[in-house]
Amino acid sequence: MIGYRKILEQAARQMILIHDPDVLIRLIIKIVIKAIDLEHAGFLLYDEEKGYYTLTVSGGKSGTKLPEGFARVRRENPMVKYFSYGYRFWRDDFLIHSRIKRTLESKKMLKDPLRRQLLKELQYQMELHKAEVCLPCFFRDKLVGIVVLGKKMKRKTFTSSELGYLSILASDVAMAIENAKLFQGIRIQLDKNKKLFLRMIEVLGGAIEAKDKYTSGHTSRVAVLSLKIFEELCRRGIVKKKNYQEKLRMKEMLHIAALLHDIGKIGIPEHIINKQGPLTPEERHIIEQHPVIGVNILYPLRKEFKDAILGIKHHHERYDGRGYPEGRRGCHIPLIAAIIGLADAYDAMTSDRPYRKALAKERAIEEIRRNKGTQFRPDVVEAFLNVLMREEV
Amino acid sequence: MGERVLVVDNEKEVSNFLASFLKRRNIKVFSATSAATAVEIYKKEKPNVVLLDIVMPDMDGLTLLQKLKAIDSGPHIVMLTSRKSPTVIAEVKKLGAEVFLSKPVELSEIDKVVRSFLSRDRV
Repeated sequence: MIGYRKILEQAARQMILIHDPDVLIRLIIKIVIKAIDLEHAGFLLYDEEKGYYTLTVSGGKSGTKLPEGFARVRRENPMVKYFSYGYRFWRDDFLIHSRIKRTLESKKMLKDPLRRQLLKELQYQMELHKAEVCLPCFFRDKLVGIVVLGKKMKRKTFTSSELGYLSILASDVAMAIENAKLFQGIRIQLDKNKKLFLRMIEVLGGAIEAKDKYTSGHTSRVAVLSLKIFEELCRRGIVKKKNYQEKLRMKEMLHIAALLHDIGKIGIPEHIINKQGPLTPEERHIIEQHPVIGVNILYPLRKEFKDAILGIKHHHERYDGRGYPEGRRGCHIPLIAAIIGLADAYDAMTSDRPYRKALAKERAIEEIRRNKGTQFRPDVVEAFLNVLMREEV
Repeated sequence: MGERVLVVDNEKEVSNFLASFLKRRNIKVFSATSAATAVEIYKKEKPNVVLLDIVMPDMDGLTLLQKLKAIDSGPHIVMLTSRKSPTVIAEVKKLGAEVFLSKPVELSEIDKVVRSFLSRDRV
């Protein structure tokens, strides 16, 4: 007896850690079958969309156990009615088949035909589900599920201490299910917010294109290409992050940086941005301020966007150290910046600019290959070439 | 001959469960998990009622239904399936199945349907 108590206590503790209701219920059913030595057990979970209880999880001997997803119980089912409308024949919450049978056989019951009818229906339902014991799972006054327990092996009867433990477990399960649902809801909402946030960033990044008439669609193309290069770098093991969360975080920062890499151009006079013909040294100096202007614009978000801001700041550095604003070289340039730098250069080459026509794709690729190791970081170039090759196919 | 039911379902868990479910009601149960064995048993054992799933590995349930009805149109056919589009239901009824139950099913429905067919035959 001590054995299963321990197991059940452990189960209760695990419930807090598991946020997927199905996994949780499966674990509980498995533990209960083993701890109490049952022929089979199952769980009828209320499906709010469909408005009925479905047998989502079951375990035990094939043939004896109820197949998962096969059976359902409507809200009008006598078992549901019994649990939720508070018809109580006994002081406890359980339906026990042998007890129902005993009660039906006793003389006392014959007096009330309605009660007798309900008991008969309950007996019938329990026989259909091969249930010896059914337990309700309540959250507040909501019946979120029903635990269906088969007979014990070797025809033993359930002890009152087992039943007591099971009823505590059932209410824990109900709470865990509600928690899991809540958690899922929050996750969905969070996901929506994140998408909305990225779309907002996209809009913001696109604002610069209103000023620079030649760069229509440039930011979003750079973002798409940057993310593809990043995925390729991960595939090649060049981005080595300890865990998935960290990788996602870096990807998000890259996405934001790529969308906002030219945001600083808002601070550059329009006539310089849209100038046809070569720039004077002063004009060049002014335009080269845009990464730093971008950093200043994003200053209020310096904590949240730390890595993205570094990406924006250094996206015009060169691998050989001859870029701007700091003339950083090699591995001193953040990877995010190196990726955006290349994607930016490629997209600039393949689109029309005030001072020249677009290059053919092949010429642009050739140009990038030629500048591998001088302007561009070699492993990023390799990843980029692979991305393009994959797309050709 | 006694009361005889044939259960056809590609999922062994389901056919096993239904077999033991019906056996408790003193019904002789045959089960098949493929269309080929279903046809074989249908010919040999002449069941009164057939519980038939639409999704089968070697033949779709509608074709199987047609085939069974062509062999002998006598037995009552109950379709039991997770597909529930109105066109499928209409098709099934046209091919001669008398009852259509969709999964997940209320167990009492299966019980009632099978029992009503068996008692009707007895009369």
